[in-house]
Amino acid sequence: MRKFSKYLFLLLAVVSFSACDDYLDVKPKDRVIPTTGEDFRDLLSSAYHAIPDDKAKLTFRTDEVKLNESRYDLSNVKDIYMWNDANPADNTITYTYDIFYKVIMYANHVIAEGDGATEATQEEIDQILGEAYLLRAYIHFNLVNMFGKPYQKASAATDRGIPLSLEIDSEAEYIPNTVAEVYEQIQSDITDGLSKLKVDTYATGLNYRFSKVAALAFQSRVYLYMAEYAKAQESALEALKLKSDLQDLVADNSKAPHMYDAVESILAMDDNVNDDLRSATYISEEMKAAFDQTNDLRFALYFEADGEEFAINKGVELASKCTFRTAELYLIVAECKARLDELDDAKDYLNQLKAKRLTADFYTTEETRINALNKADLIAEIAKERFRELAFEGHRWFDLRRTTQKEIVHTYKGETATLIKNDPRYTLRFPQEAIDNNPNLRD
Amino acid sequence: MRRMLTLLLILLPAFVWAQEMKLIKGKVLSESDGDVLIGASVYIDKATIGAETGMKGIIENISLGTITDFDGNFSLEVPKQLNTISCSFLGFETQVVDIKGKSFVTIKLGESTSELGEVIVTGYQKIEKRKVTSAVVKVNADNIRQAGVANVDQMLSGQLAGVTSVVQSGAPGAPAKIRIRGTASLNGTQDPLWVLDGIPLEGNDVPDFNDKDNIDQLYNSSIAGLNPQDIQDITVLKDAAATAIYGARAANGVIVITSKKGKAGKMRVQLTSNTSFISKPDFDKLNLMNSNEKVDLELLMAGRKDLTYNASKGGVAQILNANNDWDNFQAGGIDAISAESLAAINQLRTIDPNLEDELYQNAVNQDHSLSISGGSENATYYFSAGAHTEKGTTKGTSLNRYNVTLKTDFKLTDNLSFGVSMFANQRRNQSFLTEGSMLTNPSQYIRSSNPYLRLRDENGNYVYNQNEKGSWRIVNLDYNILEEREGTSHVLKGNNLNSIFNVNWKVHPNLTYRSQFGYQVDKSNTTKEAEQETYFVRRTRYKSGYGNIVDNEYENYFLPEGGIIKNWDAESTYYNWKNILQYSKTFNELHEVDVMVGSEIRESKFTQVATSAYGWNSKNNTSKPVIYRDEEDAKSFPLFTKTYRKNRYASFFGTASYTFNRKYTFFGSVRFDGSDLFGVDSKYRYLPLYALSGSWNAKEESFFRDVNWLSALKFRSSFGLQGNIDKQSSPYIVGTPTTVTNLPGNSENGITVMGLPNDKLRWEKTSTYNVGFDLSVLRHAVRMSFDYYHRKGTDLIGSQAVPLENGFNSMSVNWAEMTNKGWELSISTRNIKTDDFEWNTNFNIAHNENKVLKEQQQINSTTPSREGYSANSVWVIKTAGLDENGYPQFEKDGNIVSADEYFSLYDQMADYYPNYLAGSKLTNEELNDLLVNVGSRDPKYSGGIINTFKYKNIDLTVSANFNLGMNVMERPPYSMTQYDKSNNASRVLLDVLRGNNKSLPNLMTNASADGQYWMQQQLYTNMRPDFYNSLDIWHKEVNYLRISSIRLGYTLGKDMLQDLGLSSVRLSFEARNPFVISNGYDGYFDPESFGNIYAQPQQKSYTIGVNLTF
Repeated sequence: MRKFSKYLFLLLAVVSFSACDDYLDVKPKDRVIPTTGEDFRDLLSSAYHAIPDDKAKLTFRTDEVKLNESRYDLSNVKDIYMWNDANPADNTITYTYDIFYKVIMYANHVIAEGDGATEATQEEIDQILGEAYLLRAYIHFNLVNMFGKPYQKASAATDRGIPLSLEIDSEAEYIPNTVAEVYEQIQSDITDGLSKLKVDTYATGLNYRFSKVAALAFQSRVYLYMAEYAKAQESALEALKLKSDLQDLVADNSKAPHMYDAVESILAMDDNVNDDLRSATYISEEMKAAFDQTNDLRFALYFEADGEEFAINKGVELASKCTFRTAELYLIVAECKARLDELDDAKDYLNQLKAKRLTADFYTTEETRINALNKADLIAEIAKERFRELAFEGHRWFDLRRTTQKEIVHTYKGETATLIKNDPRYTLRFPQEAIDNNPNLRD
Repeated sequence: MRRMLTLLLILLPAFVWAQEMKLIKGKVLSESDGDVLIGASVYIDKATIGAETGMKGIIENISLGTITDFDGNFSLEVPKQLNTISCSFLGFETQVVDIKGKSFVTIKLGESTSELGEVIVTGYQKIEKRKVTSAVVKVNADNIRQAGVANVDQMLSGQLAGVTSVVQSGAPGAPAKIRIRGTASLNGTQDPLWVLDGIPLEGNDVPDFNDKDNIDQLYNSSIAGLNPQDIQDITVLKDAAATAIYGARAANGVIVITSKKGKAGKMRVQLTSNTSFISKPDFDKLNLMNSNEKVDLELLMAGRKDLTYNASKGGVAQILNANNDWDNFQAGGIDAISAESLAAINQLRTIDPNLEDELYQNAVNQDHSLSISGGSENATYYFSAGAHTEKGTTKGTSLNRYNVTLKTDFKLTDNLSFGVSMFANQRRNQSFLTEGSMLTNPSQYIRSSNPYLRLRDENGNYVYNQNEKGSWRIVNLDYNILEEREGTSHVLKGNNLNSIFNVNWKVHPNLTYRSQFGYQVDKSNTTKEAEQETYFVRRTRYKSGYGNIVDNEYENYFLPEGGIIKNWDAESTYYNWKNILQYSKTFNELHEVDVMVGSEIRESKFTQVATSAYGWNSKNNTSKPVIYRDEEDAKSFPLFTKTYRKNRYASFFGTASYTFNRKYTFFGSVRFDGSDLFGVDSKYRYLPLYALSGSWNAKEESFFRDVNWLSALKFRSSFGLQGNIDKQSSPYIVGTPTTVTNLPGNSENGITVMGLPNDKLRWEKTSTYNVGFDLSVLRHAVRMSFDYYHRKGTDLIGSQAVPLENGFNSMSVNWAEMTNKGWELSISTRNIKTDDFEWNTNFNIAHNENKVLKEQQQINSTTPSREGYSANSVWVIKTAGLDENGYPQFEKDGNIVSADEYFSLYDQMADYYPNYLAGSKLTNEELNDLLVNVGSRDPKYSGGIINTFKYKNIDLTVSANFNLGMNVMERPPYSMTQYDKSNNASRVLLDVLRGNNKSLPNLMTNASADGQYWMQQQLYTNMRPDFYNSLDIWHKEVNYLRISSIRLGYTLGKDMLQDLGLSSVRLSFEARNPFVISNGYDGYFDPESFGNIYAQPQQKSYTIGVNLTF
């Protein structure tokens, strides 16, 4: 019997690591399944962080810049600048279509699962969900303005937009939705988000997150792009109730108004200038001409002289992030009012902004000039003010699309390219990799 | 069992002892080195006494036989009329000895090469070869060892049927890519599992060196730390029945290394020393243009107005542009340009930077090894020390390795033994920094650098190259490859310790308990260092620039001026603990039963700390502070990072084997593999794997027993099931914690999602059938082994492209069903054997056919479905010659048509922008269907031939390996639409432009021939760039035979040795890779790397060596 027990012991020693499941329960440091409210917040932080800097790439296509021909090799941006979308050089930088959808995927996961988050108050959960809805809407909005036709009320129901991504489903088929469908979804996401958001305004440093004021500013921009001027104005005014400060350059010309810690920052989420843009370009002749270089206080803040030319001085560092700021709201209200024939109010909003941007004497001259403008000229003047105020903040390409779609001429080392009025290239082709992975995107 | 033996003892002697007896004494020695053999069996063969008794060669310590004592002596009482006795010993050929009229015999046993009676070590068990039921092959290390080769993996090439080994590059210490029976898995590693003395070695997955991102990697595999001189033999487990016991990790086969151990007997000291001379690569093979030819090419190109792609690049264009002669040249040719231009161009023709000698060298390698071994009855020891120093043929690269191995085995009591092994090594791998740009890699540089670019000027100063892609984006950063080599260093130091502890306890005569604990520590330190004046530093610092750029310089940099040093300290520790209980018993002398059960746990830990310092001054070891603007800057140039990983595994396994009457053996094994899967459905925690097999030892049958010409015949058959699950996939969203900074001063936690949730993934299952036979005839003069296998993988897991709208571009899915069918044949023949002369041949050949049965096509696939074809299919676009302008034409419905028609090209925006955007009316699938399958990239047949000749004291071994019927696509020597003059190219391009080569396509732009090819230009450049690379012009079928080694040895005669006090002296000369017989691999170094422009050539070397034994 003793012998028998010896064998039994051996057998046990060999076969049973009875605590085997415990042995295998290694909690990895590098992996986590999001469950708590904090986890979902962390997911959102990463989603905000991932937003690509494609607005800087679009800027090459606008009339804001010209290429700096003294640079050694600009072959990676030249074909974007020359709108050569059909046959670009193989090292041409590409639009980050996939990353936009990755941000949407994060938002979709938060929207789908965030409700069940543990270790969080309902208020925290609602705020997280609200931000996710707005993030999803914002990315869809950017995408449709890059790869979809410009919004035209008459044809939006048939114009090709972009595929909407509303849930994580690897087996789903992604067929481009119409422009109207995309805008409807954007609006409904904004409404859903607004109903959940709890934070009116975020403190500096956290103002990369959607707050109520940011959501309203976004809503206003969406309506503006849809030419729903009354609604756009309404949202803008609603937002201005929560935040209406303007950075006063006349009093203090040390901080540019687009900085994340300027008093007028509403949402600082996008990088609008990247290294490629900043080092490959000078500001265009149009941009130079749009400013009174001495009396417009923005000029010295926005640009930096380099010989005869001017380089963009809106930085590429984190502090320069900017998505919405009150100045844009003033300009939206002004434009809407002008288009709705409320010319005096329109001029008032425009002048409120100008007063903070121009030297006192020059402002007086300008005020007189503005007050004399008729409707058409006023609308043009507001557009020009957008061109100046919001230079290199990723607005120009979208503004041109929604308004004049004017002709632009670019030259590079003797070569000339023309983007004609209403050129179909105001809408980007889907990136080749996206078409390869989703044949529904073919032209 | 004991009762059985008693019975045997009583009965058999009774039969034998009825006769008159005599005493025979003798001594047993090893034929090769004259050592006494302790424990050899000397016995009366049952055949000689005509009784059906026990097992051949197995002596149960009864008086029918005996074993030799500590001095190799034996004495045995035998029947007086008996004429022969037999003598056998593990690892040696059994010998029948004539004792007629003798009372003392000296028996010299020859070492067995591979035969019955031998023992196969699987790492878990030792199985007598007669009981082996699966496809395993064993090779003695002495037979494959090549002088001057650092790593054992490089030696396997062509040696074993079904095992291929391709050295990845000629760089010192480069690993070899080993594949057993082709490619098994499509997901994850395809490398076999290496096992040293029963303990799996960790860290041996070989990266793909054909990828340009990996060409510069210094690589530290644990197998590379092993001194080949310490290896006794290598066993390769090929089929599922053999590998199932290793679990899921063994899906690609297992290579079991048994290291040398001490033998009881007198002390043996062995000294081996090799010196190798390695010749630098032969660049003529690349057929590159020299300066004169390149200038001719550029002039021809400048003369063609249509060639507008990067027209201003290249030395000639620069001269013409600088002197405003470009238009003059295009209008009037060489006579129309200015004298300065002409002189400058002619000056270019005369430059010869002599790149080969600047970048490459002949090198000398040294390899020395000393071993001391011996022991007593109760303890044996083996000690060895080795030093290997290797200089690379690429200047600035080297490898040093030092090894110490210590192995002792103790017999504590009669039934308890204990063993300890320690393998320690230190390696130092030195190179220079070539990352940052593919042009900085020497083998790439020499191919692409323009031949008229000097490296140094008359005063010896570096000449920087304005015309190469060493530059970084919009500014030109000076680059010179020599400056880079002088100013940077890349050193990998590895310290590895592998210790193995064994306990063997014979609890009962039939029951053994074994415990084995292996502990492996790999410490490595990588240092990259660059002086301030290097491209590496300029480029790194440039990336930290901000503000405006003036004169190629940013206004501000957050990295300080000075050099850079980066350091990675990594430590990996692994332990593996096995406990095994084994029961063996023979019933009624007919039924042999072996049962083994066991468990195994293992853990691996990896810690790496990376640090960087900027503003580095290597003279006084100081650095400067980095002034970051914000957290994002800090993240892009981190000063400190730490990585930590831990994984655990637990497994249970068992095997059972039953042999009936020495003829029929059945074997089964099962294993459950568990691991610490996170976020994976718990039903996948334990993987069951099993195998069943059987063999029939036909020679033991009565009808074959007296067939004298047949020495052995055995049939084998096996089935095994292996499984795998993708550990990266989870039905949930799984993320990695990280830190993000969205706005300055506010770092927060973030979670990065790793992949799409995947709840539809099923097990990947692979079932393998194997049948084979082993045949040996004419007293083992011809030995043959044949195996046929059929491996079928179902629900294979692969990465599948998904629409980018998912947020990811791919995910794992069960995408395919695939089979691998093939056979392997190895034949060894003893062609001639006389007293003075011996000639042996080993031949092996293998054929593998891979077929995809079912495939879920990738949505972004650029080929038709592979169903019914090999997974490694080669697809081509069939051309029908070139048209009058030198561009490809095609055949459609019997007519010769242009690309426009063949690919249905049309002008997409004809109304709006004519000649702007080309498109094809065919869908992607229809375009794919224009590709034709021409066969597989895998060779139809591969194998090796090894001939060994021995004449008196001289021996000669010639080893060759071959691959037949390999389809390859050459990488086009130039791009038809985007050839860049900043790079050199093959001479064929010059021939094409001169009109001397009418079979290769002419250069093209959208302006060629008045723009009539503009749509084709877009087709080949943007729409389907793969079509140009797939033109059948580039397709080749390559066959080759590589002489991998010719070795000549001379062993000194015994009489001379006695005077020297040595027991053996051997001198050798070996030539490695002396030549290749092939049907052509023009423009590339080796047929192995045909088409791969990043490959370094395989080295040719000549080694002289001496081996002394005291």
